[in-house]
Amino acid sequence: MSSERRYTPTHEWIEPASSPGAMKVGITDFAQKEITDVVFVELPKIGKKVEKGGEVAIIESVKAAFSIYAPLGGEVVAVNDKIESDPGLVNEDPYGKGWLFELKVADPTLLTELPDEGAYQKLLLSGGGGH
Amino acid sequence: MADFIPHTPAEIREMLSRIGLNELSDLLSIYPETGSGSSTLAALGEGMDERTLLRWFSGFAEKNLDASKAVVFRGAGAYDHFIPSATGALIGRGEFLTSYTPYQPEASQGLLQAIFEFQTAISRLYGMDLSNASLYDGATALAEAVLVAVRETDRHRVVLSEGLDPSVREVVHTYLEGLSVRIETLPLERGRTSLARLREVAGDDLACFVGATPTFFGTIDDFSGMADLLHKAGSLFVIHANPHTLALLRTPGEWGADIATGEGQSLGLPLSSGGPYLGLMTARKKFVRRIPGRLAGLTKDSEGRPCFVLTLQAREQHIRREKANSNICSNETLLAIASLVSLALLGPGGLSRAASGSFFNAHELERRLTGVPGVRNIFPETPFFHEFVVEMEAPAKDLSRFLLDRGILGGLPLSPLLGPEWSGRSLWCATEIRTPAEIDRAVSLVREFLGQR
Amino acid sequence: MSKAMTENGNAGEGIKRPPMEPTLWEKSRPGARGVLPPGVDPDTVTGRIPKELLRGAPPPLPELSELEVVRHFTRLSHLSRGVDTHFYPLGSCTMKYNPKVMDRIPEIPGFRDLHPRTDEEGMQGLLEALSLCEESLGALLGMEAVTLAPAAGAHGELAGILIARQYFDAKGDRERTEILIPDSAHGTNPASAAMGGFTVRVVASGSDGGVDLSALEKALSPRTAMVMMTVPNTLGLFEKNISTMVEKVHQSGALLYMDGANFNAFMGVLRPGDLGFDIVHINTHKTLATPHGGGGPGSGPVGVRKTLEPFLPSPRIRKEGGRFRLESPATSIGPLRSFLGSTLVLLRALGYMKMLGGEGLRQVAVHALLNANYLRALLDGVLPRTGEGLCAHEFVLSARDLASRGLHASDLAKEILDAGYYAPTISFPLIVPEALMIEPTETESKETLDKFARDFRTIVEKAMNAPDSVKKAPRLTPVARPDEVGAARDPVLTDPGSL
Repeated sequence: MSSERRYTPTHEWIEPASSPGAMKVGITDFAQKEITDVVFVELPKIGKKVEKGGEVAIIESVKAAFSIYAPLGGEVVAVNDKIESDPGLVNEDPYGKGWLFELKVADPTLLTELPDEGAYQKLLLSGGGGH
Repeated sequence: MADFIPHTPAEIREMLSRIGLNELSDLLSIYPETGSGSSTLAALGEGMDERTLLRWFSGFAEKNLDASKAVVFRGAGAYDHFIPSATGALIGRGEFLTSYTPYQPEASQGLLQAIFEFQTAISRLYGMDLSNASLYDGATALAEAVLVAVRETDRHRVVLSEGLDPSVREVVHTYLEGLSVRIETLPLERGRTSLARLREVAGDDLACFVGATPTFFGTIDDFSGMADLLHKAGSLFVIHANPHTLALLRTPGEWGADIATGEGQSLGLPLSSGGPYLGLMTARKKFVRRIPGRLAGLTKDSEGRPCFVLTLQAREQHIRREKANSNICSNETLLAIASLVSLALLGPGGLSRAASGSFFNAHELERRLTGVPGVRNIFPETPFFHEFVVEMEAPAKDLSRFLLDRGILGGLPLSPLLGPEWSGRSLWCATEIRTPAEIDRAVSLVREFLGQR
Repeated sequence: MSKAMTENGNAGEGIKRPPMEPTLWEKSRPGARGVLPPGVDPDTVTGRIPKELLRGAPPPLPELSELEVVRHFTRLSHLSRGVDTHFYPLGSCTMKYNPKVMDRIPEIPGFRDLHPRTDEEGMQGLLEALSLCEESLGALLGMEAVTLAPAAGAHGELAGILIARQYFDAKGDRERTEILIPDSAHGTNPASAAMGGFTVRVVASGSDGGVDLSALEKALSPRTAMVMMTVPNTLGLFEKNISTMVEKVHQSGALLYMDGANFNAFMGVLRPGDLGFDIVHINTHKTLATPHGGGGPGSGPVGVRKTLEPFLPSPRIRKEGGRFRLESPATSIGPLRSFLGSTLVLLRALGYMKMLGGEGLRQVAVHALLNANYLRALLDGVLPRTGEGLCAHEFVLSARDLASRGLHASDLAKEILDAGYYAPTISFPLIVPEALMIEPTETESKETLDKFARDFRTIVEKAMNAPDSVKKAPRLTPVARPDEVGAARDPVLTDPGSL
């Protein structure tokens, strides 16, 4: 498990990506289980600017649609095209091949202010968080 | 008084006692007493038996000059076509007529398969990849298509061809009223869209251009080069087409349209005093998750058997709510099945034969009408399908009234729709069901009308 | 379509399902001819159309004889269920029996074959009948003006929302950009508000399932254009605080909209106008004698107060000296669709109102309440229910206790199909976990309700005792559970055999 990975109460994760300044975003294993089989991901356009907490993508199951919020403010610089043709990747490998998009985060120092693994697990145990 | 309530008085007493009540009126204790009841009830009358009811309706119907009393030479969005007798018999089956939207696929396979076949037939007719399960009517289908283009491109300017029925254009305006979208109209030149003029209004702020074929004026538009022009600027190309004419005419798919819409009334629905009609929407595959309305899809059941199911429901209002791509819920499924049944009964040969008959009769009518001194076709050089505009030195409204009094619904006077400069012009139509004798009579009455002046 | 289409799958032991019906394209035989329409051979006209304006090849439509088409659709009908064949307790949809005599009204040539652009002189009978329909609906709704234009309930909502926009624009009040909607509302409400260009604010329900008065008060502001409410609400409960809500909404300067989808519960008993609503739509296909047709057509007339009449969709029907004419006032929101409305549907509604009369319509509502409350009493204790006291025309049960058996409301629905019914509405309203929404309607007999209650009880017992078996339902339907994930991930929306 990546030690730099941080989480949101709305069940997204974010971690530094390979390209400098960019951060990768996906949904947590808890979230993919709640969503059940992902049938489609509506990804943002590259270049889209988002505020922290703003809706940036939509994940669809057969009977529901879930908004995905930006863990931090920034600009979308890459999207995971592979999940367009194979949305099941989000279920199979939510922290790996099922990532959603990369953000160029306006203020990278804010990353460490988000809950870490331990804090997120505690949140789940307390029944907190939401979509 | 009929009320279709099945219980006997004894059953009602038993049911009330099970609930723990004494009187039927006790059930109304959940409502406040507003004192509005009795006068309303009196205003609605005491009820009627079946026979009296049908006679009452016949009284109104007799005052209408329907197609059995006035021979129809009018189209303009509603067409008097041949309808096979088997169509009504089949859609009247209770399993189609009295079912709900097929949300339980295991108990709705017949309905789902019919919707899937409708989607297939309409897609093939339009030369497009896919179709939805129907929208309200042609006008609202086009308005929804424009909304798709606005959302897809995130642009707020659209251009509509002057060739669209002006009342359809108005519906688009109504739909877009609250959404800060600028709507412009591109004038036709001699009944057709000009590529040069489209180039002038195209641009990277344009969500879509909407063309129509045949146009409201009956002319067959030529969209050569337009798809490329629009796509280069990132705009969508939408075509509103009459499906009856697509038996012969180049399809929206062949013109390069992204989305194509139409009014399905011409595919086996009666004139119906204007409704309910059938909104058609087709699209290229890449827009599959953008388009509104229900979609039936092919899949397999848990035992490996091919079957049908409503799919991509997460686009729809019952799931996405304010983020849905439309608010549509009820659509026109029964009429979609009616059009499918008609298309299946006619087959490609029958549909082409009927469309050719429309073309033939309309051209015969045009030749004969323009042979009357003082009557001319306003676009004499431009190919038309089954409608055309003639002009004469007399108010078209007077002519229409003259003909109606003699059992003919003649060409539609255009000034109420298009302004006073159109007062001498009317839009004529002849479908495959017009006979040479009917055409003779219409032409000689026009001659008589003009001769009297 | 591939041959696999007609294969009958690998059904389990003891499961016998009827054969599939091949698609029209699978049955198609090149050269086969069905009905011969009037017309001419295409060769006589195609030479007169420039080649670049012609389609490349004839449309790939199926080729079959008339009898083959008749058998195809008759067989398809056997693979579906309707109110004519099965009890259909589908909550919020009012799947009642619609009198067959109403099917004859749209067949009268004077209506069926009337061109919508006939000169007004030639459609006086139609305009008079529609005008009577407006009047009768106005009387039932307690509203001073009615438009018949909307094609469905959601279309009526859009009309109401655009009317509200136009009303505030005319007053010069451009601050009102929000519409408040309870979280229990039909999905069409927020979707319509968004289409009309408004921002949706969701108001949470209270613990009793009704609108939370304090949440409503908090949400109301000078930005509120309208509040949309469903009456009775989607839990089948009548809001106890309705008069206070009406007052609060009006005090804030906003309009109050009623989603009248549940009109069957109070027709002839209560009038939305008397309750203080400004705009109301009803779904004539739910309440006034148009069967649902597998999803439509319907119609969604809208009633408004006098002050909102100028904004109604065009055209309007006007009566002048015994003559009817059409008018499009400049203040109107404009046309919402082509022509006058879904006239053949509206005439059925008029026929139903006329046939039952005022007292008959009232009895419909009373007996809709009777049947719902009776069935609810029979099911008492089977599953937890929402709401205390009496319900209106429908009620909501929750299958949340079955989670311990790994089952959902949708699993119960499949067993209900096997028991010989259509299923209740599941997963709605969203505020009730594992909801089953049951609306018996007034036209079902006591015998049917008694049997349904017994069967339902048996199904819930089975779910508790043999959950694995329930997961395999349905066994008696033409197909087993479809792979909906596969259908949505890789949509096949047209018959591949047609290309």
